[in-house]
Amino acid sequence: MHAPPLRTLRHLATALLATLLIGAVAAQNVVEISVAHTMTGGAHRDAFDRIIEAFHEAHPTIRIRQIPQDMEIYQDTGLIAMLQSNDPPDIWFQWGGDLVRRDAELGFALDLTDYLAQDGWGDSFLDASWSEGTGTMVGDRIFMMPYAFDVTTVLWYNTDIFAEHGLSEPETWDEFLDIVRTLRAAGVTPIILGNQQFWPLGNWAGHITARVVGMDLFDKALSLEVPFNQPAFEEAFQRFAELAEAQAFNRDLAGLGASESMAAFFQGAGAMHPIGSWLISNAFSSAPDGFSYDAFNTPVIAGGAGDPQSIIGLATGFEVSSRSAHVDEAITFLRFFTSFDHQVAWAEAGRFSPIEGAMAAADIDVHNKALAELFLDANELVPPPDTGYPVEIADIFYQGAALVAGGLRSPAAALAWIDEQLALVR
Amino acid sequence: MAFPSRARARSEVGFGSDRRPAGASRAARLEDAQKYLFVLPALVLFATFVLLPLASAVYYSFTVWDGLRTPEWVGWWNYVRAWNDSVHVRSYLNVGVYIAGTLVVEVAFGLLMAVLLASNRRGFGFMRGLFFSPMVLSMVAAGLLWTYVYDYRRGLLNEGLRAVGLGGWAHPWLSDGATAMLAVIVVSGWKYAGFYMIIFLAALRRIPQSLYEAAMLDGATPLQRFAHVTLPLLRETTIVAVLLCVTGGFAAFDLFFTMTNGGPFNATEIPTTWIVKQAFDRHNMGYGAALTVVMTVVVGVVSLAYLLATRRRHAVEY
Repeated sequence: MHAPPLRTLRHLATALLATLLIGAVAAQNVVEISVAHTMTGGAHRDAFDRIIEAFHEAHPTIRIRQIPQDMEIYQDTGLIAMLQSNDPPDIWFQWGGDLVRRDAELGFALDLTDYLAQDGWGDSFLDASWSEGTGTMVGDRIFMMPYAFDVTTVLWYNTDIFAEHGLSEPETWDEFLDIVRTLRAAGVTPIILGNQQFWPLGNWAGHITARVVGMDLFDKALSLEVPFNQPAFEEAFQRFAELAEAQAFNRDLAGLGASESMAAFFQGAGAMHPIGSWLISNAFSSAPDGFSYDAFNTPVIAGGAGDPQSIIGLATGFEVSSRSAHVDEAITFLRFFTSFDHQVAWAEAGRFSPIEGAMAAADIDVHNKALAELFLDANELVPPPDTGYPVEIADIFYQGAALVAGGLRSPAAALAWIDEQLALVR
Repeated sequence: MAFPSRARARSEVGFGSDRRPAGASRAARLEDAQKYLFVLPALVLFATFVLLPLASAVYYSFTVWDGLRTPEWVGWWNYVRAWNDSVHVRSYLNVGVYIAGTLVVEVAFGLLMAVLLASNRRGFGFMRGLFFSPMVLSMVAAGLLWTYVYDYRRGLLNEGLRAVGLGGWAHPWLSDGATAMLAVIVVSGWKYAGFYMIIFLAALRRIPQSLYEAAMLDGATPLQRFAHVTLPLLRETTIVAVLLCVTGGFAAFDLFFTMTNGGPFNATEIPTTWIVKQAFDRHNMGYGAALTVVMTVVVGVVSLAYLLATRRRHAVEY
């Protein structure tokens, strides 16, 4: 075996050195943006991945590093830990409302108002995007760029069961109660819901309460400015007492999980299921073939002080870190993500895009389209208590409503219990 | 046999001598320093991973803190809140019921199975293994498995009842406050009775056979032999088993978290689930820390009281 000639070795060393140098220079020019979110799977995650892929091609000097986390972990400890760290993500997912206010107040979130004002970027969003109601703004400043709207409660119903019993969508609460009684008399569970964690019924309870007491009083009570135990709230909670009396819910309401109850609804275990717009994507993957469903908004409650056609929902989106060393690159990515073509793809993946015209241009499921219309036609948006207000207050309100719906307390007793619990909150 | 006094014994083995001969040598002091040097690594680790977090939990228990904002010192406010928090107070009653239940289905049932399966007859070894086998499952897996067994619509239990014509007895076991705790206790027993069986089996094997033979010669029935020979000689093992069961009961979390998450309507809320809800779901880290301190004190006091009570009666001191 011959030793390699000295010249070859020298060439090899030069080539290696050049490669290392080029690599180092290239690495220095590439900026990495970290994006923390809760998309751990599903069609919208695939769409997000494709958008990032396209972004990398269009912007080779910016790399996006995703930090996906399970939603509950993210909500309970994950995001807090990241925000407290020395290296917070440049961009993170957030629910509109109280959490955006918190992030703005503590200086975590960057004020996006001026960025959105550039080149009409902000004008490409639906008008509904920019309000405290949707939870993107604090005062007159924008701290969250919305990427989706969610209606958190409508009444989904099994159209076959409705047809079998000659039922149609109710307009008023009384008609709705008639449907419940008809179904119960026929031996069908009228409403199937899993309320082990209180929010599934709690969201709906928030909507009904806002409809009855009006948004102003609803907001004051959840802001702890007035007590709950007063006639207007008793009137609202009377609606849950009526549902309990009509045996509207499944017997395992209090112990069933939210996703298990959705699966049971798909299996025909109940005629109606009050939950949010995310049921549609679950129906794609979990409902049996031929399962036919539709939805209606909470029926009009006569005499209510709130908007009779209001909906309950919120915006979710991205915040940018005020500590980010790469704000411009982060904004570049967000602009790319919210560009029209990518938002059409985003809508086709099942999300309600906030970009003007994206939903109309997208080839989407009829249910998604109907919910988008419901959202856009509504005059009033009720924020879900657990995102619009501190979660502790919302949780106590939810439990109070659940006690009445479960037939365990009268409306007055449950409201007194809520005030008693809230008195312990600092 | 007379035992030497405790002081004499200590002095004979060279421990705890209070007086050092006058003009103690430097070498002796160096030896003392060496002892502490050897203990130091363990002490540093203990301080870092036990004492420091404990002290920090005590500090945060006097604050209102959401994990993000600067903690606000509020003095005893969290403790006053804990006292007035009806769910918190109830969680101790619930855990008391749970512990009482597990003493029956884990310790007593484990003892019964140990006595019944102590024989070396054919097949008994297999049955002991079978009875012990749930121990190899993680608590979370066991909880999830049994959630499906108890499921109201498709669960094995209700389906079984329906299959034998007892459909009227089908029940939402985990959704009814009257049955949820019992359902969890049963699972706990299923999981841990085998563990206590093994502990008792080991103790049973140490009882001399001659005692049973003597009792038989005296005409003792099997029940009398159990009451007058087996039980008294298992006393020390039982004390340990009860202590394990009680402290383990206070530390229970995963089974409740997976099966009921404290529900329905706090019917199975125990201190640990309530602490987690407060600290992580509601972001009340300060209040959660106060509840943890309360629980540490309660468990410490209960364990100490139990050990003192049992030591007075049974410990042999020398």
